[in-house]
Amino acid sequence: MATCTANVNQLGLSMGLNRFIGVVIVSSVVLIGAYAVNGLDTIKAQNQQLDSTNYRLLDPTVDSGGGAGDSANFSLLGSTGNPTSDARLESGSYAIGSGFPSGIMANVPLLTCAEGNTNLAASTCLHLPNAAGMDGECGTPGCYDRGKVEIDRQGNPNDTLYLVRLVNQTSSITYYLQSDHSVATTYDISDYMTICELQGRDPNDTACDDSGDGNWNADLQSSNIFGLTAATQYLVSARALSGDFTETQFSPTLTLQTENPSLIMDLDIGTTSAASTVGPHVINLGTLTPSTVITATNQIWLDLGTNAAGGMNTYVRDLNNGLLETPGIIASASADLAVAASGYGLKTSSTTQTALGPLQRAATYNTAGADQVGGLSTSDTLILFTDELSTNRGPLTGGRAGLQVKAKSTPATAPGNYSDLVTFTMIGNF
Amino acid sequence: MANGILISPALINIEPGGSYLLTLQNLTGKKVDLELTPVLLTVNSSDNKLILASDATVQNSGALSEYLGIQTPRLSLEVDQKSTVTINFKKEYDGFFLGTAVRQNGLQETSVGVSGQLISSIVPSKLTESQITQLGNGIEALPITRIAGINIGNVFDISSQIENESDRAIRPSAEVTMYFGEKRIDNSALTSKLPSQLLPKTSARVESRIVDNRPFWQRLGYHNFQQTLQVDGRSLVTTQEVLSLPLEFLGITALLLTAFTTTLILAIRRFRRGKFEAKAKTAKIQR
Repeated sequence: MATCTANVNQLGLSMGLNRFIGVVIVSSVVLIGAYAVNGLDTIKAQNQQLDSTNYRLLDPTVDSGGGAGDSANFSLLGSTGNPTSDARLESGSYAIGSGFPSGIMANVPLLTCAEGNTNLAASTCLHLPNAAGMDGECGTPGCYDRGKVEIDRQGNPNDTLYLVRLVNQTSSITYYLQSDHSVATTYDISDYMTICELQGRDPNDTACDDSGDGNWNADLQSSNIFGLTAATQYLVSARALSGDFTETQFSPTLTLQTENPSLIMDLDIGTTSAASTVGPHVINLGTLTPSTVITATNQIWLDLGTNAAGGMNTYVRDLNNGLLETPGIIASASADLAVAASGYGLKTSSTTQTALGPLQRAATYNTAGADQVGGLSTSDTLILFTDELSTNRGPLTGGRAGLQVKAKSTPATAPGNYSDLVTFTMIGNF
Repeated sequence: MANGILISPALINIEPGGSYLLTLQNLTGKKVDLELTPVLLTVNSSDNKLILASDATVQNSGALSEYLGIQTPRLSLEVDQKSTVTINFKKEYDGFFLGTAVRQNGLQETSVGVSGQLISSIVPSKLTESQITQLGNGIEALPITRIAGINIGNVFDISSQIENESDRAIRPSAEVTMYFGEKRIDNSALTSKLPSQLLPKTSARVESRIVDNRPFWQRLGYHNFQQTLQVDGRSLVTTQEVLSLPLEFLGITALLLTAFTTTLILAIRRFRRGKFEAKAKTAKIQR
């Protein structure tokens, strides 16, 4: 209740006193009533009472108040005289909020993780499908255009909405995660998402905590930020909104690092997958006995890896369209050498991978017969690939393929040293 | 675990006149000798992916050096050694993309020499205003429950077609938002389902589903589906309207119609009976 002093009319003590008492009582009733109804109106009511025909209130004390106000574009919930708005209650790292309106605000969230290129040891994300850091989602050396953020709700209810902010450390441009999980420099209310909408999974929400739920999204659990720039560091933070006037400040930041689009390939020549050889690499077919299929003792072993989201294609071509000893040639063609009179080609014998993929065999060289080969030519022919069809993943970690080299000559084949040069070409689909 | 020669970036979006640093790292566990040469790439029409151009006479020829400059065409890397090479994208080769082939050498010995090469591709991606008009943003919203072409349910299958008829690669992001009047009901984010890059003269199709979970009495009217395609900082918007007449309304209408018809029939019969009885009464009185 406001306290006030008044200059009292000097007509007569008793009459004046009665009037004074009457005035004070009336004023107090009016003030109390106004304060109970509307805080801002309380201030107006007090202002209206400051002057009357008989007295004037000097130096009134305005008590704490507040209320809601609306404009065309904004709504304001105000609170005046609140001791919790004291600047001395904040430091560089902490702010104390108590009473109104701090009491209705959502809890400032924390980030569990914000990652683009982590391995198993370095990752703090809790719900990555492959449980091996972002290398396990994007392939070595990590993601080049996407990332993953997970939020610790800090006690906020399930329907709390969160806005994610990313600051590009190279350009200093600030981005906000959009409702379609891309990034843009502006945002609106539709870009605030629940944890389920943001991460594809929420252990605290029974409608989003297992794969049978309609809101479960395995893709978002793998990565939920798209459209990032390669080889860039971002500072990531988030804030919460749990109803009107409850938005928090942004959380402490975490660093998200993206990598460049990358390809990895190695060649080895040997009898088993454990082979590790130094170039130049040569396959020796030895002596070709006419009308006999000769399989080289050693195989060609390819190590392949990529972080290409769309997968990779590996092609093969040769120099001579066959084994050449001018003017003679053992031509290469796709054929079953057990039946054909002569020929030369490759057969895919094995494919494995450590993670992601799988590493797939193109049909030309993935032949059924033991002596059936795919032909070589001076044009690139697909031999190995990864893709993102169905449940396949384009990125590949630790891919390893074994290829046999087979040839067959005829009695009419002229003696000589026949040779060829086979080249494998790997291209990423970024 | 990486095992081999690592190159990055294996693809870069820069414009003619630009340059970049190609990083090479030897993770093979043995010393390697590498050769870098410019190559031409094209889009394979069968799978819409980059492939070496088939013109072997042009590939790896000295003539390509006027289009792509490679600072260090030959280098050796010790175990775990990393090195960078400056690649200068001087100018475009008409109708093709340029790339750098990083090859481990193989000799043509008495039998079969084996060589391998990695390709670092350059695909320009900056769009002019006229190239923007060459992008397609199509949507088809199909209600799964229809009678006589009118939607009577609350589930919509969305088919989105993104086309790139320009000669630039694009990195699309897209979403479909369902409105009812001015009110935003729900959205379907398409970005995670789209390829991170659409090469020139290629397209992508994405299927999604949106459900309107509001009560039936709020679903009578037009659902408006707005598909927003974001490319190179620009937005392309396309919309489609679907008239919805929830099944419950049909049921209520049928019920009301039945009640009205029944009431009418009963009223007519009552009227006729009354008329007959009046006639009978009159006949009785006259007798």
